[in-house]
Amino acid sequence: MRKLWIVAQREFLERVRSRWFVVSTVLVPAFVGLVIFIPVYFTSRAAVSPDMARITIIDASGSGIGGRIAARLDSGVAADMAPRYEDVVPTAVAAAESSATPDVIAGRRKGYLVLGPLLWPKPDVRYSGSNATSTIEMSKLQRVVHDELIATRLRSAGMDPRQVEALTALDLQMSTERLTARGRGGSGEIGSIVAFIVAFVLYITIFFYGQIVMRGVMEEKQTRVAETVVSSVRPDTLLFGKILGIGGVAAAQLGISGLATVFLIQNRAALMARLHVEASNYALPHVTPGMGALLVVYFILGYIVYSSLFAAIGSMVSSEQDAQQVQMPVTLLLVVTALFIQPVSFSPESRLAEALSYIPFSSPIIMPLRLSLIPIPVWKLVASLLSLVAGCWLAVWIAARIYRTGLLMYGKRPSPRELVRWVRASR
Amino acid sequence: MVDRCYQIVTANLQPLPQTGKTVRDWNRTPRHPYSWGILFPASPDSSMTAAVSIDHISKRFANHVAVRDLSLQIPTGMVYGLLGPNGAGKTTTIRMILDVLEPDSGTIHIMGAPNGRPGVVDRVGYLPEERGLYRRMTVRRVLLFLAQLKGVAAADAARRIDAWLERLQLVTAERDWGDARVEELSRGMQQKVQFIGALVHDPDVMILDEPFSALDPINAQALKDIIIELKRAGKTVIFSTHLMESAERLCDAVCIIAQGTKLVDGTLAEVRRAHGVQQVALALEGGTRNGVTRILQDRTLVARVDDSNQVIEIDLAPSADPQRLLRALIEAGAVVQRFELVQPSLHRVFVDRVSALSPNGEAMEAAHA
Repeated sequence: MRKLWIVAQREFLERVRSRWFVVSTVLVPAFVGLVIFIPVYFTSRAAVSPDMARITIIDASGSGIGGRIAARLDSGVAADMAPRYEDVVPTAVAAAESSATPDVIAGRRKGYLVLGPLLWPKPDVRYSGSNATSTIEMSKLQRVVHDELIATRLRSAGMDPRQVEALTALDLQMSTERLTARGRGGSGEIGSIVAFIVAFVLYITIFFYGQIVMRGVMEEKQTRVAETVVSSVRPDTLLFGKILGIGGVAAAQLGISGLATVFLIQNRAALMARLHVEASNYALPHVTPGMGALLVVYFILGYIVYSSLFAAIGSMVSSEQDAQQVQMPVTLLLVVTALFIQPVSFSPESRLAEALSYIPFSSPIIMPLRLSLIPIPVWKLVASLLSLVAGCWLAVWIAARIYRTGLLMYGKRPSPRELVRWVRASR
Repeated sequence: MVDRCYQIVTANLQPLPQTGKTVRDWNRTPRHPYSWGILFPASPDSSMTAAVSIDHISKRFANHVAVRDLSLQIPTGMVYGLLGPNGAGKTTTIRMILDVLEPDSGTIHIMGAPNGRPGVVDRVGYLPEERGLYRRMTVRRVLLFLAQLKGVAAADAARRIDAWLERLQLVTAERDWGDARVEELSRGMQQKVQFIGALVHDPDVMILDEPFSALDPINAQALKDIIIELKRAGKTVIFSTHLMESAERLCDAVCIIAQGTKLVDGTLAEVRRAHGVQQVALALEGGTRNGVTRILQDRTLVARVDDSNQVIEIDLAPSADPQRLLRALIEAGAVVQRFELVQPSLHRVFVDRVSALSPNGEAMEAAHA
């Protein structure tokens, strides 16, 4: 036990100390941060951009709407930044346009907005300008024109636009609750998008850390340090220590990344306020402690199944090319499982989904996915866990037997028949 | 006859090139905290128990039998050579001693205890033939890891590591290589680190698998010095080799194995004596050689001739009298410059024994490899 701890400690400390760990641990929250902040930030930047105001408004409607639009666009920064408003008769539109065009080409104006003579029933509004491809600026302009057109219509119908706005403003948030045989709510469902993310994160991390275990075994074999180490510690202990230590790295990394992500999401409004941007917090899904514990258990067992298989592969091969080939079957098991994530998330109660919940190679990913979507009877959950524990035990047993022989064998990789012999043979 | 292993010990009392001190001086110098006392704190008890006792072990792999009913007694405090051609089963035997492999049958005891018992192999140090370390770890961390795996407490291990690094000049006034990553070290320095890794827990039994292969001359010298020092500190050193010269210089006792079977074992003198063949080294004055050809072909006198131009090595026929050969030579008119009865070299014993086992000469090639 003490040696197991020493091996695990080395695996953990050497990896946590590496630059790779720091970078990849920071990367996830950084990515989440970008996803949360960037769009809002740029949208808000666009909103205060004074560029939008530097346009010419050619208004042939005779209703004065052009003036009101100009007033709304005016950012009040400087006189030459204000929109230029030209009230023209319908026949003079063409002339006004041709005189506004050189200003746009020379860059003195951003563009010109033409409000045609007819505002009812279908308004004739056009914009030409150098920024016509900017979605943000165009949608802002369109919003302003749209609002003013409605206000004009309301006024002509004898209504006060402000009063209408006050009356129609309604922020409805309907509370929902799931009703099941077991009672109201509380069944731990998270929602399909989050369930999808959970399954995908499980898939990625199990794959990623399984690969790290395999590379670790290959390194020990290729540098021949295994020869020295197994004279002090049994191959089994070395294998379990490695899986344990790298599992610890996974836990540390997921823990740090996860907590940072949750923090960012929960404090989105406060953080955005620092950037002088108004934004609301995203709602975090509610995860019950039982559900959280189940997720952790499935992750741990899934990690053990796959990392021990990857370790066995690492011990079998002597070169990178061999590793690529030999790991195919195990990789395929994972990839095929990942392909089922989408179908299962659409119909989590299907027979396919149920079957995949009892296969140790797919249940660590499929079962958490179903758990976050639908209530699962306890006995089915227990059956799934039991089959997974049995699969875990079998995978570790086979892997340990392959590992202890393969680690000190060099040269040609074993044929399937030799592998069977390795598993059967004594030490 | 003076045992050659004794000679090598005396040879080591000459000043060492690096330190200018002899081994004996080393032992006499006052011990400051970072030297001898830490490296070999206590002499192990050299009672009558064998350091390693192997009883009728066999190991069969899928396609062949690696070790066949092998029994060995390796006495405490000896330098013991495990000799054999490539593929003889030396590494398999060593792996079984270290409990990395389990014999199909038979038992192995280390210092009187079964080697499978927890902590028993911690008393053994091992330098494998295929050497390597964790490349991205620093030297101190690798050594600490290896020492802790052998059950040395961290603080104790750190002191011993520092003492050894200084001793093998990996810590000098200019540079402390202990904090460098293994991959930054030259191959020679990595080999030194590997020695330390095998020694740092102060083992009672040291097992070296082909220790001199791929060693540069400086490190080969350093390792030889360490082996002698270990012996002087009462430790047992077992090493496998197919290089008879190094075995002959270093070993107190040897065992020759081939095809997984023991051919002969015992002290060097015993092994030579047991070989039975009487050898004569003969040198003749130039012109008189032609006359003796007939005598050397006499199968009642001479079993084999190995003519090396300056010296003719002659194996006498079984129960032939060397005096009769000498008389015959003189009567034939030969001018004898040298006529010496010699003990067979270990190399000779090895080649004879092994090629007797496999007449196709594979073993001969292996012995010369």
